[in-house]
Amino acid sequence: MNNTKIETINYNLYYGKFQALRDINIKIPEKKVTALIGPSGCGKSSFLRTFNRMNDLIPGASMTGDVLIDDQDLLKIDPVGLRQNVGMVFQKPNPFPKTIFDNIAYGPRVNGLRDHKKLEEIVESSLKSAALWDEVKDDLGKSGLALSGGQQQRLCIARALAVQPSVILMDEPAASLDPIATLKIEDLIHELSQNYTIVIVTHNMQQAGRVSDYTAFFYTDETRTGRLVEFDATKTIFTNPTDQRTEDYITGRFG
Amino acid sequence: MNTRMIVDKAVKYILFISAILSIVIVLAIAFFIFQESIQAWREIGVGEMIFKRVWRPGQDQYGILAMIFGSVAVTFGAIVLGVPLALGTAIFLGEIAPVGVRAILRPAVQLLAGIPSVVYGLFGMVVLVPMVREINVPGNSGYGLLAASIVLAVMILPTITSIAEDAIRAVPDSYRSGSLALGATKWQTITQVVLPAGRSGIIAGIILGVGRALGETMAMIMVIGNSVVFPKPLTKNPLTFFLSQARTLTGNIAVEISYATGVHESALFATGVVLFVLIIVVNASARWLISRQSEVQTTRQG
Amino acid sequence: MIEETKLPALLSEEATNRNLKMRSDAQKFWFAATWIFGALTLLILLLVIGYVIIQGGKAVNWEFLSTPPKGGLSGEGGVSTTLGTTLYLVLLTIGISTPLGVGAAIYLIEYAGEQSLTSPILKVLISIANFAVETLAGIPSIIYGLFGYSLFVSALRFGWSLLSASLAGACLVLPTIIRTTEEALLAVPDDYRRGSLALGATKWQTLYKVVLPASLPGIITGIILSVGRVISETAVFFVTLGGSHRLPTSIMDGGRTLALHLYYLAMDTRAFDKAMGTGAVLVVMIILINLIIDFVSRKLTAGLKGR
Repeated sequence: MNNTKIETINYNLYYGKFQALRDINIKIPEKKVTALIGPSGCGKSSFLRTFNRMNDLIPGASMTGDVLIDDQDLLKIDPVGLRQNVGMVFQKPNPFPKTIFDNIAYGPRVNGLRDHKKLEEIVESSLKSAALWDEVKDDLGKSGLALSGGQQQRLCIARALAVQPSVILMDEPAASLDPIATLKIEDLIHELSQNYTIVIVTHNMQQAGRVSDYTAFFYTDETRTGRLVEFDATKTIFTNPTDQRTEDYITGRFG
Repeated sequence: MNTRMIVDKAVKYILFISAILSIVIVLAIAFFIFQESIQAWREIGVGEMIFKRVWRPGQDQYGILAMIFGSVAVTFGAIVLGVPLALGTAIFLGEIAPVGVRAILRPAVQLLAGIPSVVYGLFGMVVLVPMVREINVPGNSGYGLLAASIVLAVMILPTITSIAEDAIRAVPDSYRSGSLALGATKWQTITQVVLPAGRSGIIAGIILGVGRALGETMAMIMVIGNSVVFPKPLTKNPLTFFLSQARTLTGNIAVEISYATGVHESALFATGVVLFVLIIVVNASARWLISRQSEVQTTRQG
Repeated sequence: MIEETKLPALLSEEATNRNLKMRSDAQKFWFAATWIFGALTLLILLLVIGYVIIQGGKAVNWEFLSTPPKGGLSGEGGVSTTLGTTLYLVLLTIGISTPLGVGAAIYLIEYAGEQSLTSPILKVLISIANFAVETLAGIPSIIYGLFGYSLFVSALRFGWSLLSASLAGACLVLPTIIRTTEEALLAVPDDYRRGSLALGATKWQTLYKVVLPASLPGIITGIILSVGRVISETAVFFVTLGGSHRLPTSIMDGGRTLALHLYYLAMDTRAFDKAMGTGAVLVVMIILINLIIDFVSRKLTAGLKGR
């Protein structure tokens, strides 16, 4: 039986008057990989951004319903502190124009860690967890922007790991990478799920099938409001879905 | 068909000439200014001019060191007063101000840039100088480096603010998102990611401000006192240095050019050469600094 | 108060909470500081403009605007001749610099690209030309004045005159016109050009009928900006225009602009009230010019998006 890491109850998201998500009820299990799939524009990324309150930064965004993380009301947690616990990796790698070391050390530093020795340890262990250590260990003073696309993305993952989160949100992390780099990321996700709860948005169904333990399928109606159609173990979704729309999407009849 | 082609070619050549005109003008400026100054360099000597403190043309003394120092001192004062205010305003406009406030403040900054220098000078004479005179120090006339620095700071404020604000807004949003997602506060994001990323643009703005400050003439004449003394503190208190009167390189030229002749006139052109060189050195070293920064920060994209 | 959950936190729970509060407080402080800076800047503007307009407004009336200044040390009279001189100077300076500046910009943007295929000498000349424009933009007004004095006033014997002053002024505003025209040209989408050329038009026809009309608002903005500069600038004209308070009757005559008149009043006479009045007129002119520029810029963005 899984523990529930994140739970939403009757969750609705609005951008101004436009309703982006309707009545989402989901229990995301701890230390597993949960994939959010569905056609473009159905609110998957918006849903992801709820969990680290990045939606707060969008003017006009509002929500109703409950979102619980570790059984605590999301809205009652200080967003700054929340984001240290719930990390995010973006679609396009966005390393800072700083050295590799400073990129990774940035998170711990802004969260108050000053001890240089500890920072060095964290940088090393984060890079190892992100499978990047061997490639850059002699070059930590190099600019983060000097790495290849795949390496930059692993750098961003290491950066997210450095603040010791318990959840990692990934918004189409391999979308801008070549197939080899993509596979590396997918292996990484698999390893990371032993210690972290991972929620990943992906357009690539095969990837969802390869990488996730659980899958949530989202779909929009004519009003372009996103709804959660089905949520189950990945195996089930892909071999024996309950809803017809899920089956249509999986078999490629649309989307 | 033929006429169209001929017209097309003719136009191209005419436009080409206009484009080259800028080169001609720069060369002409350099040539004429330098040529007029040769008499001074020859008869007075470079060392005599640049390193001597006393400027008394009536007695064949043409030392401009006091003016060099005056220009540098008032520019320094303007930078110290103006840069923090300009940067603070730029950060406010670029990151913090709500849309409505920005809609008022941005045009206000532009308007500040358009106000004629003589109006600032007049305001300085009528409002600032009497205020400075209130400071009870013997020899304080109100005119001097302090009043001039304040006026100059206000004059370079819009230049630095708009360029710095543009540099801040040019920093990609992805950096901000990345920083906030790591648990940084907005202010930490500004100081540790946005400002460093926009550093070269911000410095460029400051350099432009310095150039503007060194080149300002009329407003300076109106408030700086123009006595040809080497600025120094009025009393034992070193801070009274800023109450000292002074004269800038620019002021030197403008005040005396109408009646100067012969070597004296040539010496004023020589002052122009020194000013010109000073500004070029400042601009060039700034550009060098900036190009070094961008080498350090980034290399090729993966 | 935050309630941390399990977490192998970076710092202890207590340290984390303290750190969060400290950062939140620091942000509140610094945000307030920037608000104050912004307010201060606005305050400075209002102070300067307000003071000049209110104090100066007291001296401005129809008589002030329609009577010539007495000249000399007296400070009596009005500003009528200076208004005329300013107008003449603006017309002359803009008349000289606009064709040259717009022409240069057109060449540098529209023609310079393809030249790189034909001649390396040309390529070098063009990069030097671009560098020259940048250099010109950084040269202070007084240097333009000295240049104008030595070339136009002395060497060419134009003397202190509208001619000398407008030539020197044209050099001063040239980089502004070139830059703003360049920006306006760059903002015109390439599709416009390609569409025209594809229909068989020559390059010049394309420019004349398509590109220039589209970039016109931007070019006009640059011209109006330069008008503002001619009105505000003093050092360059101080040294080339002479100080006569009379209205020039030909381009070989000298005079004083409104801004120069303010300077002479302030430095040579005790008539600070008249000086303030002159300043008020100047400031109002500049405000109007800024409003016009704003209006034209808005038409520019509308033009590229809508129509």
